[in-house]
Amino acid sequence: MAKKNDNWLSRRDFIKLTAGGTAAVAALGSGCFKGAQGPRAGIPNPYMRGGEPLVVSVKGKDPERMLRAALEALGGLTPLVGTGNRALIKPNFIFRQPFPITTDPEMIFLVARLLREAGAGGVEVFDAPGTYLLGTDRETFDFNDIARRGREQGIAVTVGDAGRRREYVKTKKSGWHAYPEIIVHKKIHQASVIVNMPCLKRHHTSYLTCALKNQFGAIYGAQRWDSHIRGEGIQKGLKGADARTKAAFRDESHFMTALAEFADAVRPEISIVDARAILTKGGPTRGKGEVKEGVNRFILSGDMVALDTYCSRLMEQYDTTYTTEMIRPYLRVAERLGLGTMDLNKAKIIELTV
Amino acid sequence: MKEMRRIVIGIALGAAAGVIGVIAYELTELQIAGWLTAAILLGVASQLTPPATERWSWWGGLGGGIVLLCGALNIVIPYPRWIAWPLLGAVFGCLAPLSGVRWRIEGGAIGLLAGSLGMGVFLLVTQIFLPLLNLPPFFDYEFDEVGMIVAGAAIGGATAWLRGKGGKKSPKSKKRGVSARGKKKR
Repeated sequence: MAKKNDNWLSRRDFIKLTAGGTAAVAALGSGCFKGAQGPRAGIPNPYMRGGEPLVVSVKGKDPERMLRAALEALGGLTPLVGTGNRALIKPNFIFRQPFPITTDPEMIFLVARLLREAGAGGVEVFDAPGTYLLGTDRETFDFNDIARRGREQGIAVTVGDAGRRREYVKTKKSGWHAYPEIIVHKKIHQASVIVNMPCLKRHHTSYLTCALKNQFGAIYGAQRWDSHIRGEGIQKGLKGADARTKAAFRDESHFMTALAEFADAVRPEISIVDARAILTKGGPTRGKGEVKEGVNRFILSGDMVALDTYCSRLMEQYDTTYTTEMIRPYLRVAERLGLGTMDLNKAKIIELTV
Repeated sequence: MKEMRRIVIGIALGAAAGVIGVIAYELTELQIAGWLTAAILLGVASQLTPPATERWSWWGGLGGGIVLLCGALNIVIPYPRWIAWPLLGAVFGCLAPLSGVRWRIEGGAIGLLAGSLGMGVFLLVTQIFLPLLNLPPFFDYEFDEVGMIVAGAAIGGATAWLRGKGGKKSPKSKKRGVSARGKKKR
């Protein structure tokens, strides 16, 4: 009988290894390899007149009077929530800084009240700006004390985590080129009505952040960060805001396409841009740009592309370093995806003063 | 070959500890439950590769204790992920060699590296290397779960390798009243 080789694997060792390896491979697929679902359907834009999307811009000093007047001109919130639909408000809560860097909580509560008046069956606030990986998951929510304040007013507040895959669902749509599958938060995917409440700011990567760019917060963090690395590269990403804006992209087309496709994966029913004050010259945080007070506008539309184009023209009036040409790449993709029109001649613009 | 076999078993057992931690995480939806389970089993697993020393329950308790401490510290330091696993690796790595201060220091450093890389390597590959090399994206996984398995495997492998390092461990004297060095205890 041949002598057993003590140095080789015993049967017991082999079984241990196989069991461990199989379990490891099985666990790697823990829920993440489920098939993709269709994208969020949403409600087609009800704010149209003569086949043209409505964009309402109201100027004034009293936010409640301004919003009520703008909504009346637009067609109200009843077409969206009149049948008792629950509404989800998607603000911009990216940093621990007050408006206009982040959405004003008072405006969130005001819009929630208006939604209830129009018949909403419930209102929820959601964003996923941070992650437990960096300890930033609750920063901005805690800064605004919005969970407690929301509870007092009967508004549910959900803090998503950009780094927890289990909170997201994979969606797929033909026509998406940057990422054939986009991983969007379950809250967003399942929402009946989404009210988008962005601020109007300059941005070091996308040049402008408004209705379309605000949808980044609904996408799985790893996918957002991947779009930045592929689009900007490491060198541009590590520069200071000013230099970062001017530095060349690694693949600009990828980033701009991803931006528009992320917005397509969300498709909010209405966007309300709070432009009472805006961030000019740099962004998206206070230290990088200049806050311009006294703009005193709200701009509303069901068409994110027309809305961003209008807001872009507004930014041009206050920031000589900015032009709408900078964001034309992603406006074009958004238009191709059917999110709206970038030709304001094909939209119905209503400007009011209250 | 004996050493290679020991390391391979250490890696597999460490990964298995991570996998069971993942199962605990999935069942309870609590990150701390997954981490605690993985850390306790990692401590036990580090004692299954010969030459084993001490009671395996002590090692399991040590692993669990480190995770609980980091969880408690989360109130002060908001990055438990980046502390707990490198610390686990450092402690197990330091205690793995049979003896020798130099080996213990090196073991601690190797274990620290194993824990850090284990938690971060997948992240680094999928979030940095794949996009920079224009390779197809892969981020359809849970950072925590993969991190537990890879860190478990890395720490398990490192601990198993370190087990054979250092000099001979001084035998404890079985005589009552006599210390390990042969001196009479008072």
